[in-house]
Amino acid sequence: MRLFTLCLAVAVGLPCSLAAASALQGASSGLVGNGSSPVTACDTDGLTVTYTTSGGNVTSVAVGGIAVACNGASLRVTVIDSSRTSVASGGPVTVSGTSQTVSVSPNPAGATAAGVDVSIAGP
Amino acid sequence: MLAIVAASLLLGSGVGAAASLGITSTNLTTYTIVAAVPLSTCTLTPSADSYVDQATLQQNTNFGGVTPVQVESSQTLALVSTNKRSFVMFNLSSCSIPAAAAVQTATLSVFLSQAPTQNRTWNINRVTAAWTENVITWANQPTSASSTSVTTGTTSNVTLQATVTSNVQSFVSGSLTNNGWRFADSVEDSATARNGQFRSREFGTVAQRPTLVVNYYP
Repeated sequence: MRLFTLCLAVAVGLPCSLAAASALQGASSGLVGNGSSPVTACDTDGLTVTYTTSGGNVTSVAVGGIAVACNGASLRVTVIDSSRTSVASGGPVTVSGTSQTVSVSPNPAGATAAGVDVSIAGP
Repeated sequence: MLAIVAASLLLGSGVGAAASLGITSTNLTTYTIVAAVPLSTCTLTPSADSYVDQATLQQNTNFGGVTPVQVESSQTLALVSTNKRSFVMFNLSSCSIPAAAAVQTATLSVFLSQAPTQNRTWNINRVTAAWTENVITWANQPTSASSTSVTTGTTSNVTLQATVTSNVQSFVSGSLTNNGWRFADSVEDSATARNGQFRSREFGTVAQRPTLVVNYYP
């Protein structure tokens, strides 16, 4: 399956780089948007997300583009629907490297997921 | 910064959880990333297609290599039925869609190269038994089950589309066997012949061959 990642400037107007395509089956990715104002303690240039699906449902979210300064921090994700209601969540996991995959529960239908809130606390 | 955190809380981000842990905005990073899960798409042309003819002298004739294929409601002056039906099949296995995938849409399209002279409803029925392109005839045509329909209009050189999502979901999951679909006039034995034709997989222009487009979440 062909995968791609799009990335737009975050609300603060900083550029962000294209993320590498994932080879995971059922994975998909999205763009960094400005659905809410970011708080940027350890990462200032935005993040990307890549969904992994199984049986048509989202099972995990890979967060990419994490700044090295975030290593050791605690990362949580919340999958939201189009009305910004939480439909799944995952974490916390400790950030190690520039990408982090987080399993989410429950596993919402792929058609339901409209975005991801990412929270990185620390280090 | 505090205002930003408050806004994030209202939006239900992970900030709330962080705040409950006593983490302040000075060491907090949050982003809302707007991203739908992209659909995977597979577009197929038929692995087999043909039509069958009820006319007495054609009932054992195979038209597997012919383009276009035909759908006709007709009978002779002696009230002998002379209808025509078409069959198309797509090799879904070439898409490698996981059996558990959630099919969102499946659209069957045919290019109507010759429209009937009167608007007709064509039933598109799921075929319930195996058939092969170079063997199928009126006499040995397989059975079918009701699925969907399409109206032809009377304009030639247009694309007709039918939604077959439910069928394809069942084919993918394995709960039904994929034997393709049968096109037949909903009211056969018309006293005035009502013939429509659409391109088959043998037609030279690829864009006018039948297609099945499947959108799914793996």
